[in-house]
Amino acid sequence: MEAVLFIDILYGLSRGMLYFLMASGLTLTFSVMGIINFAHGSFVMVGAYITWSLIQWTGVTWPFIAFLILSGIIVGVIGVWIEIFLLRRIYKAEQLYQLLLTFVLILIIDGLALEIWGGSFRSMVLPRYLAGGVSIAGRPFPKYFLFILFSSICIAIILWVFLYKTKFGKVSRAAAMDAEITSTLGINVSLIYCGMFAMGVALAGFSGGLGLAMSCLSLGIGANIIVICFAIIVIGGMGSLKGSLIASLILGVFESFGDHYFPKLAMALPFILMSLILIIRPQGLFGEKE
Amino acid sequence: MNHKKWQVLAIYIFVIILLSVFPIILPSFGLYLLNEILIYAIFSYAFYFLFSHVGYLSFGQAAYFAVGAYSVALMYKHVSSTIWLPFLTAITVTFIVAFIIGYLSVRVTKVYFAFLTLAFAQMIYTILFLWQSFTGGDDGIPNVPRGYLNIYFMKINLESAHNFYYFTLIIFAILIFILRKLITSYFGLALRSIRENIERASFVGFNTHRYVLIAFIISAVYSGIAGALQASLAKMAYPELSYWSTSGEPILMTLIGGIYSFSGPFIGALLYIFLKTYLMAIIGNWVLFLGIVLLILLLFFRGGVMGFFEQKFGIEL
Repeated sequence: MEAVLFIDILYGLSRGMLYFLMASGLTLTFSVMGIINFAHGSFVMVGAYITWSLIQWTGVTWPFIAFLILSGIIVGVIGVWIEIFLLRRIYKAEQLYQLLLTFVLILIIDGLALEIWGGSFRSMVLPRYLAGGVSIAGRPFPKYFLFILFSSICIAIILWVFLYKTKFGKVSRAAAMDAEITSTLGINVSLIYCGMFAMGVALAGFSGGLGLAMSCLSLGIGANIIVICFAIIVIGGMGSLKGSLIASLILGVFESFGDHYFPKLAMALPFILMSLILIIRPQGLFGEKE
Repeated sequence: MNHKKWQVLAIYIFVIILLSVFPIILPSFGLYLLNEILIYAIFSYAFYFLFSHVGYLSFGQAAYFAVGAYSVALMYKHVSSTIWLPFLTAITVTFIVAFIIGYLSVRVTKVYFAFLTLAFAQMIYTILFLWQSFTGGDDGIPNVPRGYLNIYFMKINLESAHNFYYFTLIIFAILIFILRKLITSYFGLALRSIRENIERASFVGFNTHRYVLIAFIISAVYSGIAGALQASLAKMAYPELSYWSTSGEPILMTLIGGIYSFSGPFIGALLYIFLKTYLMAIIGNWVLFLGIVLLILLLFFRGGVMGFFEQKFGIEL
């Protein structure tokens, strides 16, 4: 019994950490730029497709981790272009327009993905050292989930160090507080915006390769991801990285138990949690009041 | 000014006449498309009302669309073969669902509102998907009849494509007329003051939450009626009707047509469905095409197609 409980929690944590990776990019762009990127889920999908392509082209699976990082970087570069050519034009517009613009981006990304990768299902081949399972507390547990857990924790730590210990992190947090005053200090805020958007999107790309390696890749998967990400940032509080982390872990563990004990309800769980939070505490667990 | 008013009225009457006469020469597929255009136009007007006149972006209109569709489908299947009871049920059920969801949602604004409506819609989707015994789960409800319309001693069979089309057209005309009256009324003005500045509107003495809630329910009931018509037209109800991509459709249609123009949603629905049907066969990648068109509209012509025309000809349609 205890072993089952332990395994469930471990599943939940690795799932939660993956959710955090996916949602953190969204939180980051929102907290610094005030933009909700509706297309975030589509970037996750693109990241997964790029990882798949890298495996296909090279024909080897062992540099899997390098592939993940590389697809994160590629998606990040795409993000830079999108920021320069599209988002920059619309910062001054109403928030609802920004929402609509990123919504339209979903269509474009999905359409391009259809052109490039086609509509059929794809699945990835995992490197040998990540396939199979290990025995934990006398029960089998897939190695890959441990890998997800481990690498997400690494990324989370890097993210934290980056935001709180480097100059760029400090400056971008300043820009998040007040862009105008930050720019009067001689700091190039538009560069920070660009960098932050690229970083958020790169996180999406990385988490896409990481998270979707175990499941089937198909077009439109971005939509499911963005809805989960929304649920997380609403539960955790918009713009709060800490909130996103805790919300992701709660959701991951809840879902893991849900799958086990009441599978029918598990599908609705993110939305039930999200609605409850919005009713009880509209600003989210760690959000600040408007 | 008065001269222009007559012009606008003349154009509206002309469009109504066109819509009533045109079907006589249309082949059955064209008739079906035109019918669908009218239904989606109602759906788009529901979104347009809430977005353009109250300033609330709802990403969950599909929930009411689906609730309307399922209500009608279930009533036709199990209870009645005339249209009155199914359609009244659809309106009542969407009203109740919208009241509950709206009561919780209107307390937050803007971005949160968009998320909350999306979350509730996904919840409705999950319920429709999982409640196999009642909603048919993944398969939905197939073979929904279109029923009979009986007024006094007349009994009109709506299975006929033409009869159903004219039935839709009448409902469309009535709903648009009511919406126009609402928008130009004192109530509509109050809503626009809320859109401009909700705080000031409440200082003036409006109970802003109640106003937004009423507007939300009207929008939802419009969506519900559109869904009810769609279920009858397509003869089925299925969970994807409540999926978030369905919520996206009236948004895209309204954006194409123009968010500032009263005729925007109708023109948008017309262009969207027409282009989708005929361009998909030619260019294949419809989603990409749609995305690029909308991107250009959003960046350069925020008023959409009708906004562009209105500017060019100096007439407000």
